[in-house]
Amino acid sequence: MAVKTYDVIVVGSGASGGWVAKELTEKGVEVLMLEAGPPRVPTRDFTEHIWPYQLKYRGFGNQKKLLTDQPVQRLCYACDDYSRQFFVNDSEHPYTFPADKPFMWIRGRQVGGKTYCWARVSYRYSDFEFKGASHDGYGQDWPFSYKDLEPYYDRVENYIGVSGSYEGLPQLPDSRFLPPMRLSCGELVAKEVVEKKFGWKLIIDRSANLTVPLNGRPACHYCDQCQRGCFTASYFNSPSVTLPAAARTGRFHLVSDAVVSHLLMNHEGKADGVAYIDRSTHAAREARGKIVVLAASALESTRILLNSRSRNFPNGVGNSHGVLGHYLMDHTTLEHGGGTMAALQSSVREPVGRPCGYIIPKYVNTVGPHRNKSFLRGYYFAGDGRQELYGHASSIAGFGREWRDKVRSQIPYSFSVYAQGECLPRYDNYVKLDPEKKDAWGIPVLHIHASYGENEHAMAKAMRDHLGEIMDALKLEDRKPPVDELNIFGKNIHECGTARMGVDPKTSVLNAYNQVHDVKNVFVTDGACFVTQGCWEPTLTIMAISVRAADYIADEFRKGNV
Amino acid sequence: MQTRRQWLMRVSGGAVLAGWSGVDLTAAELPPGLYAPSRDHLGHALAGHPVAPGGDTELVQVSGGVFRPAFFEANPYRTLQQLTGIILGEAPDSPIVREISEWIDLILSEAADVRATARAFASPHRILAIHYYGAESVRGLEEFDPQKVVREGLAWLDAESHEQSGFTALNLERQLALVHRISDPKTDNHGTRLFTYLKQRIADGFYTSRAGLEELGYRGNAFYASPPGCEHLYG
Repeated sequence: MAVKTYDVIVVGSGASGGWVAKELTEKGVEVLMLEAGPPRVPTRDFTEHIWPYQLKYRGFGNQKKLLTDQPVQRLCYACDDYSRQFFVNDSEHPYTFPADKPFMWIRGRQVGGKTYCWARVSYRYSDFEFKGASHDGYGQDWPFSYKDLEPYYDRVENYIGVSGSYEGLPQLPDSRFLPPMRLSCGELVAKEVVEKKFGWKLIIDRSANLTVPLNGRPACHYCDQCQRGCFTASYFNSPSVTLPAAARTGRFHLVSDAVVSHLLMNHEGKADGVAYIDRSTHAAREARGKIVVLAASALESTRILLNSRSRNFPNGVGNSHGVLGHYLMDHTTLEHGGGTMAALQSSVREPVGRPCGYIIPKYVNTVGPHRNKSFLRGYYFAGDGRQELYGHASSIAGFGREWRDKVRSQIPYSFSVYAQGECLPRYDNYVKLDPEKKDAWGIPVLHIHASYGENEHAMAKAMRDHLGEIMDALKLEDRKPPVDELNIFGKNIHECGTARMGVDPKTSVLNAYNQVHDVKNVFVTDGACFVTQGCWEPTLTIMAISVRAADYIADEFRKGNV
Repeated sequence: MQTRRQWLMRVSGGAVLAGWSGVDLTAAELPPGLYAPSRDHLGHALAGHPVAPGGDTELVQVSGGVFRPAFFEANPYRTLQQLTGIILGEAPDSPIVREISEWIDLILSEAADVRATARAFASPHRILAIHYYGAESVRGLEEFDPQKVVREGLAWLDAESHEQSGFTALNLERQLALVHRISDPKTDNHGTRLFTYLKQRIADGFYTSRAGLEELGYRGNAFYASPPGCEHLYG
């Protein structure tokens, strides 16, 4: 039986793969999508609107199971009693790191990938990122500018919906916004203080939640449980937004439970398809395609390239100059700052359910007067202001009805603030194939070697100073200073780089259209392609880049160039 | 016209709305794993059994029979119920005290296993946990023995009761007096350690119960037509 050759194979069904599949199929290209994980069934796997008392462990989780099956994933705030099904089993998905360079790798393998449990924060990058090297001399520019990507941001936002407020900040360009959400009482108090005292803006966050209906999807109903699966598809995830659009074209073929191990290369040095392993039966299989697009997440896509070793490509595909795997980035954060706002203590409950917080956009080393020469680039602040639910119960003395009355009527108002900063791309932060360890399907795992450098630590000092000044200005009580150390590398789940774009094949893996310099019919469209990541969440930019790459792929395919 | 508050309570009451089916969620033409937005989410949330079997979610299993504690013997379990009743200000045989006592029994019955699992961690997982939670917190997970705290605490209470069958034999007034003693944060003994442990578990249990969330006036897990924000400004 002749094996069917698809026009394009897309590996991965998350934010990037979903957009590539949608754009290509709508342009008449036939797509086979391979997803390593299983399909999720809403009625079985979504736990939206479940109450804690309906759960055996009341929301605190089956600790034995979490420690046994998900000793890494459980560290992610979103991997809990309600949503652990959206995260991988760590015993099947090992990886290694040096003992002094811990790396926290949070993974979601399923149709939809991590778009089920992402935090939906959506920012445009500006030329402070794309042309960062021209701005301050460090590293490399991206091979395109903000103007090149702007129309693709427009397309993505118009389709998925991003809520936010128009601010006109050059360092954080406005999206095509749906109406913004609303600040809480404490955030309004903080806005007045912060803007007056420091001249920094405090604004509602920008989030891929629908504040009004869009393209057949109802508006958010503000239950604040997005990461449990959303029945109304009111935030962006690929299984309810981009993948159905691809499916409706009739040119979309989805194979789930297909764990891709490597590219199949022909004697002309081009890819013929991919080899994959059936997740359940462990049977080895192949799929054939004229073009392969890797969108499996930054580190997984790079792992597939590294594992595609052959006589012509002894170090993997896209690695002829030893750049593949290098320049790994993940944002730094200084977390857990905050305290209570005494003036807002109340006996009256406020409504809760807004699925985002506030931010104080980056102000340092951009256009304004705030410069700090002790480090390059910058950071922003985020957090939220809200009433305690019952966190104050154990600090109220006594017991019985009197104790309960105090818990009910003396509601503290908490205000949290943390900083997130840019991680410079450095050659010494890299991933490679572990020479020994294999995953549950016999595929070599990654050895991840990453740590923060001088610039990140110098920036952390400025973050800490300003966090303290903000907390002083707000006169927070029961103050908690931010933690001493920067986060574990990987903890922010914004891992980017390792197959970066660039003009020069000697110093980059991909060209400006996400095409592997060495192999013209292989593309990488996820966060692996990032040259820098600013201090901003990467997903919206991943999606815009994916659309731009898909446009190019469709054009080149039509012209017969690939 | 019902208020949001009534709405919330109806959802939590688990009323069954006739006629809802999941068909609109997995529109037949979509491949497995893709879904269309629910057109009747209200109905879904009101349906009595919102999670179909076969998934990873562990729901409370309602059993018709008599509850048999997994950790406690019969008499210590009665003591737990009486303590829970006193700390909550509820009758020891009330449904809410039963609900929380059963949950505390579950947590305690698994505590030794959880600790053993944490102690058996592979080195990289332990390194990550230390960097994430801090060394002290990880040591706590590996060493803190709540079963011991509870056993020693209950034995201490029984001894201090000066009665043949211990704490459960005391009248309510004498029980209250003893609980007052162990609620003193300035004292450290088996009794106060038991109180601190139980009070935290009872707070966790009660404020995640339907009654506890109602008492707090919790206004989340709801349906809002517009985003919650400062009601003073936005109305």
